[in-house]
Amino acid sequence: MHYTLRNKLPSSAIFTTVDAVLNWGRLSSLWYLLFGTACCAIELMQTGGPRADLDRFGAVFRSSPRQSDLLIVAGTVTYKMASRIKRLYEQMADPKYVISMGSCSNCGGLFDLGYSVLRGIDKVIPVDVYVPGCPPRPEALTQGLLVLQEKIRKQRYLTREA
Amino acid sequence: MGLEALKEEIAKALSATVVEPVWAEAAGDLTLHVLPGSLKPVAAVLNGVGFRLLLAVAVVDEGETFRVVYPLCSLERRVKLILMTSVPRQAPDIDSLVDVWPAANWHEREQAELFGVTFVGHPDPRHLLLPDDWEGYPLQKDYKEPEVYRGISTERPYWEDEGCSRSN
Repeated sequence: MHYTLRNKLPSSAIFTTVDAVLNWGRLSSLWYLLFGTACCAIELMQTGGPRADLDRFGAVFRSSPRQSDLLIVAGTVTYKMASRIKRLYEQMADPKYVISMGSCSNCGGLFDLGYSVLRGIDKVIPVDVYVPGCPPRPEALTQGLLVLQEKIRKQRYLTREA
Repeated sequence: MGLEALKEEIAKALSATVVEPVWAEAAGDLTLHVLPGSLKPVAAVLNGVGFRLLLAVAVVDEGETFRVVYPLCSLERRVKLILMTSVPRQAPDIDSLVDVWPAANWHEREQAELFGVTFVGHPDPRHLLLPDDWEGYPLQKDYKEPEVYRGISTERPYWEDEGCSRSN
């Protein structure tokens, strides 16, 4: 940019809103936590891999919750794990988003009757987008990410109510 | 070596422990029933005659009693043997076999937290899989799920609509 645009454009100004710029920045760099709880994590890896390539939407994995904007809950969550996931969520810096991936994470899914299985991650942390499927295909998770991006695009972060 | 010869050898080895072996056969495997009090000496004898491999520790909830099952394997003899005992539900205490087979350590921890059987003398009787503050023994037949765990509701309304209840 430094070399291609220099001396080619007159002094310019762009009119936009701060919210729009913030939202554009956020939705274009949704770094997700490298984290999976069960078999959905395998599809999560495929989604991050070269064929589905979540990277082209600005989403790359980070292995620390401190650097992550997005928590993708991929797989069955037990009560024991629920407290750990809550801790991870609390360690993420605002603004943060959650995608619930797959039936187990949405509502308990196949293992719903088990004594140790949490019936939906939304009982523990707030969820922005639910992706159905058992497990969802990489296309479905990509769609979930795009839906989340559209949600972020409409946010009014600076003027939101407390 | 045939099974009969093995039985005789085990019976001979057990004669020192004043245990009368009760034999049965389950799915083609030799099965030895003992009283819970004589479990540990019998286990030591079996270990001595070649059953050095403990495959698992299983517990069956039979209502008034818990049956504790130890599938054993002898690699040198190429034979399996199942050691069984029963403890009363009211006082489910049983000797830990970690001294005899170190492999029993985690198996016994798991069975203790899931069935409420106490393995007396276990070197590390913490929970293995369940959280430390878990109440109840989930694999007992009469286990009732709590309504709330750590402030999280355990309800699943759509199953109950379809005739499934909490207890099953």
